[in-house]
Amino acid sequence: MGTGNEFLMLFGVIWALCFEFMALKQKQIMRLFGFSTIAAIGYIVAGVSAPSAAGAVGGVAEIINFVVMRILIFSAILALVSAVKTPDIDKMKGVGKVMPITTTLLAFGIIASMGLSPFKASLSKILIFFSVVESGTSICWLTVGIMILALVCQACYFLRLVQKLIFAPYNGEEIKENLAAPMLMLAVIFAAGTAYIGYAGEEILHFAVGQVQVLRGGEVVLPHLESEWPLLVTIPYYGAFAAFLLGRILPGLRNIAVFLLTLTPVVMLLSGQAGPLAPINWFFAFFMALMMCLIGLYSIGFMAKEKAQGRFYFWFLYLTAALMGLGVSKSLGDFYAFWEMMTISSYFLALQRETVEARKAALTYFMAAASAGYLFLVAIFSATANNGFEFAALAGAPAQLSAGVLAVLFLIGLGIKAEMFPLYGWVPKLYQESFAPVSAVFASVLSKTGIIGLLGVMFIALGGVKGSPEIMLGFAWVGAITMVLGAIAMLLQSDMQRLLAYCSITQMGYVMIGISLGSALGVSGGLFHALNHMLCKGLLFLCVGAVFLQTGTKDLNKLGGLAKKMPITAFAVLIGAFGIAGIPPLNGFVSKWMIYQACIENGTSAGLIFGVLTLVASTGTLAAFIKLVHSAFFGLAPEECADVKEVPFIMQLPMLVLSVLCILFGFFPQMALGFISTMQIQLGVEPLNMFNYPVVGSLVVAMIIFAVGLALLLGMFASGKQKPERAVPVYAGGKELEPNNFTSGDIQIGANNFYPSVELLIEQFFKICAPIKNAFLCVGKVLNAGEEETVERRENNVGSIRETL
Amino acid sequence: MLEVLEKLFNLFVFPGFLFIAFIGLWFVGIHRKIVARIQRRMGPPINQPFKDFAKLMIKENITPETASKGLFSFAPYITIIGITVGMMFLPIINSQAPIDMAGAFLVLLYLITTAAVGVMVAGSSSSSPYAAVGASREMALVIAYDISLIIVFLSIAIKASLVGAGGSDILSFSMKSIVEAQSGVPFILDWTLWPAFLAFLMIIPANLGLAPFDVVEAETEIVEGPMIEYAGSKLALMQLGAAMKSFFICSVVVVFFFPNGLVSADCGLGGAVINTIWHIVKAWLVYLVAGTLVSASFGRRRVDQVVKFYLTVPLVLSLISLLLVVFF
Repeated sequence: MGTGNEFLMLFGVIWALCFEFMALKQKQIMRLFGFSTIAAIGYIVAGVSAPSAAGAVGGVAEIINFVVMRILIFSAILALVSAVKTPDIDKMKGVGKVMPITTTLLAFGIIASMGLSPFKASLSKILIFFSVVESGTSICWLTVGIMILALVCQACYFLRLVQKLIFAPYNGEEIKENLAAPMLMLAVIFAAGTAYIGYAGEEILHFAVGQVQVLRGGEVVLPHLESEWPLLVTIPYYGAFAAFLLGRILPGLRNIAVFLLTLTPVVMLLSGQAGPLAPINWFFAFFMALMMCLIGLYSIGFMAKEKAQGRFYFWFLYLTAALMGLGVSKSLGDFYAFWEMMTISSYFLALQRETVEARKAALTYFMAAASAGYLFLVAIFSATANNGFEFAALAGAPAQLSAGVLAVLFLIGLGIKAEMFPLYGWVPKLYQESFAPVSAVFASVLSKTGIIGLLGVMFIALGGVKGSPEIMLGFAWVGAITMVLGAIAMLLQSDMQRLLAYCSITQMGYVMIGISLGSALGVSGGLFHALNHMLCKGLLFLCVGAVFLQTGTKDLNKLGGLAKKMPITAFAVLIGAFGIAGIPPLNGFVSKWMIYQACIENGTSAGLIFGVLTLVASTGTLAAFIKLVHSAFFGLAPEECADVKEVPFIMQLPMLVLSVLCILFGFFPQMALGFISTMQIQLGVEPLNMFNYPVVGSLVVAMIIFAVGLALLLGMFASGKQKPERAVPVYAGGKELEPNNFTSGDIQIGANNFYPSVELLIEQFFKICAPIKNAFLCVGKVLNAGEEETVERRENNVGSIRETL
Repeated sequence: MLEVLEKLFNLFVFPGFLFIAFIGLWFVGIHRKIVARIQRRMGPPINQPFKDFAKLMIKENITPETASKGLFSFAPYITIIGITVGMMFLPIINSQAPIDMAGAFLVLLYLITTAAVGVMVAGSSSSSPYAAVGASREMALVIAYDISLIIVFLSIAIKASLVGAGGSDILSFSMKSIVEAQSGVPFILDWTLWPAFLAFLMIIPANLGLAPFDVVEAETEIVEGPMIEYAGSKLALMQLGAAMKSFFICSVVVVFFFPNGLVSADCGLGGAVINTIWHIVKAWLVYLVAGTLVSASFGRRRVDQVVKFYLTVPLVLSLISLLLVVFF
């Protein structure tokens, strides 16, 4: 095995990259498939010629996958083309609506051949990666880089194809699916084969191992990547398939089943049935399960009128399984497997809205997540070498790369979900364009998975502040920049979901700063803020979704006066908004205060700067939420919102539960903080001693505020009895203020010019940054090729500010 | 039990609600008189705010039909609660405030914002476009001056921790540590903090809604802004909140820059009274310089001018102070 083999390997991936790139540019489905197939040979070549035996095993397994899955895809495409009678992809848009079986088979084949979960075919590509990283020569690193690029290209054109075919409305002529077509039959047979490979991936590997042993001689040892799935994961996982089938037979029962299936993990974790778990795993798993349960309940009301509900709940439960897995996973190998599961299921959830914008946003998200995921994988392999994949084994393992490079790789891989700068580019568009419950899942739950991983990497693998102070400081700076940029951009938004997206970015910045400070107060503040962000942001997205469902718009300029029509939603929004903005005595106040205090106590000049920035970002958050609350819920209702009603009780219930939790954690922060201090011990951080830090003091403050408020309120009611209370209409300019007297622009201060003078300054700031944004435009063009340009809604309202002033 | 009663006394009587309300209304009365004399008018008697308050309390309560009633009624209380609880953190008689804790100045910062939130909620919930404009201006103003205010607070806290580094039993960044750090030389005599002091004085008119930064109420443009729909007892409470704020914010300046009492803290009730009066006099002096004289001398600026002003002059001043404190 000399360098000749290494060059062959390099040649293989370059070959793959070239043809994947050609495939990316094709507009016809047959040519796309042709180029893609030629490219796939490159991976096999690279695998077979890989330096270690594991790679060769991957290569041999890849041959088997290649044959079965390519035939499946090919026959499905032929069936499709013969029915639609055009090979042009853009003319086939939405064909999934009329030919559901064929397109499902095609999607099945594509997902399988990309090696995405639940298909274990991914193992073959991972093995190739593993062997390449393991040898660690410079040619190998080059190979890894090119292979990642090629795989990302592949994901791009394949998923673009799938989302155009399935997640788009169909406008072509009437076609009937010919179930007896021979090509379809062939596809069904090979789909069964693919399913078998997916189910029995290990056996294929065994077979491949045998072949390689014959060819190369000697014993072949494969890395042990995954362990047995716990019950916590398998229940929602198999439940997803069961609920999908149940929905086909008895649609009425499916909703109940979905609710029960999301409730099961919560109950299991509460009652301790989930087995012994470390505090940090229990904490995140429990709150993620709780959020998924509440959002699932809300979705039953929200999605009631949507068509493809079965698909939605399937991916929802699938995502729940992935999240539970992430919550309880002990090794990096497991973590990565569930991470992939989460990426694919959240991608399909984001697509549910089936608009051009949603497709673009979802694809951008997937591309970002996939490339980051591969880097994450490289980091795992490089960090662990032969030490197994336990988090703890990483510490002090002789890594292939220096700690700094590793930290950057992990930060990219995990930070993409944690919405860190500069990787949050996909966030605003996606949160804006998906359904509100999906955005709620992304913002409140998925972003925390990045934090779980980062906690493991930062404190256990890298040894925390004591182990690597410079790296931790770097992480804190990333958090600070994220936070400030998010807060500034948030002030400009007029779309409610987009505003919340930027808010989410800001709050994740807080969390990052808190945990990177590494002190007892900082880490507990960061973790507590992560919890508060989970509750508040979930709550806010649900409220915004309720408004969208009842009024049909998320644009703050078109809303107003909803507080009288949707009182429960208005109450929940106030709690969520003031909670996350940190108005005492709500929950965000305590956690933010802990982070400020930790920043200042840090004593370094960087800590001081963080202190100022966190406080300033907090003001920005408050300002943005005042705008949101005012524009949507107060003021006068425009004519379009005249007969809006409150949402059904099934949607109110999750909002109320979350509001109560926000208030509860505001008044009794020690409920969470006590548990967080046990988590800190697990992380090797000094636990927060609540007697040293007067968290209790802030509780007293909160209670006093409450007492004064209550006393004054009582006084108000008493005085209200004595004097007559009269309601009068509002006058402006000598006329009674009614929607038909004035245009809504006159009676309601739109979100566009709520803070014109401040926005103007921010606009000037963003003008300086414009070239950076333009640099990414060409990438976007490649990503979204073939999606017709709609009349572009304004990215943000900067343009319209310029008009008004 | 006694402790609870003491805290309740602190909260409702001294230095809480009644005390601030009384002094605050007086401050407003004196302010109006002085402004009138400067403008060659007679002006109302000094106790006019008390009469106004009493009169409004017995007037009819009028609520706009389209307002969100609960918040419309609750909004004045937000300001009053914020200020009353904020006052609990300010040591007046000696260095011990009724409530104190590590990082108390951060809570104070929040409570100052909370007082402004009351005005915003009032404007927002009353459904009048003028009130909404007022609310949005109030928030824009808060964004503009809050950054400088944060930096001023931080400079003070860091200075205090540098001076008082010896005493280990003082909670870090508590109000007590800030006051005791000044027992030798008050911060007003420390040249590194002069820019911060100036910046704080510049913030006062905007915080209190006084000319030249009274863009929130702006009678001639948006007719009292957030207060436009308020009447009767609710208007009385809004005005009371504004009056309380004037004493509160000046007290913060006093505590941060020259908190030392005339007599030692152990002089019993008499000493306490003297120190309290001394504190009120100092607070009034701050109000006279930064509020009354400034507002009598200048006309109102536009909103964008105000925002630009606060994001340049006080911001730069406070930053200079922070750098000086850290490096000298």
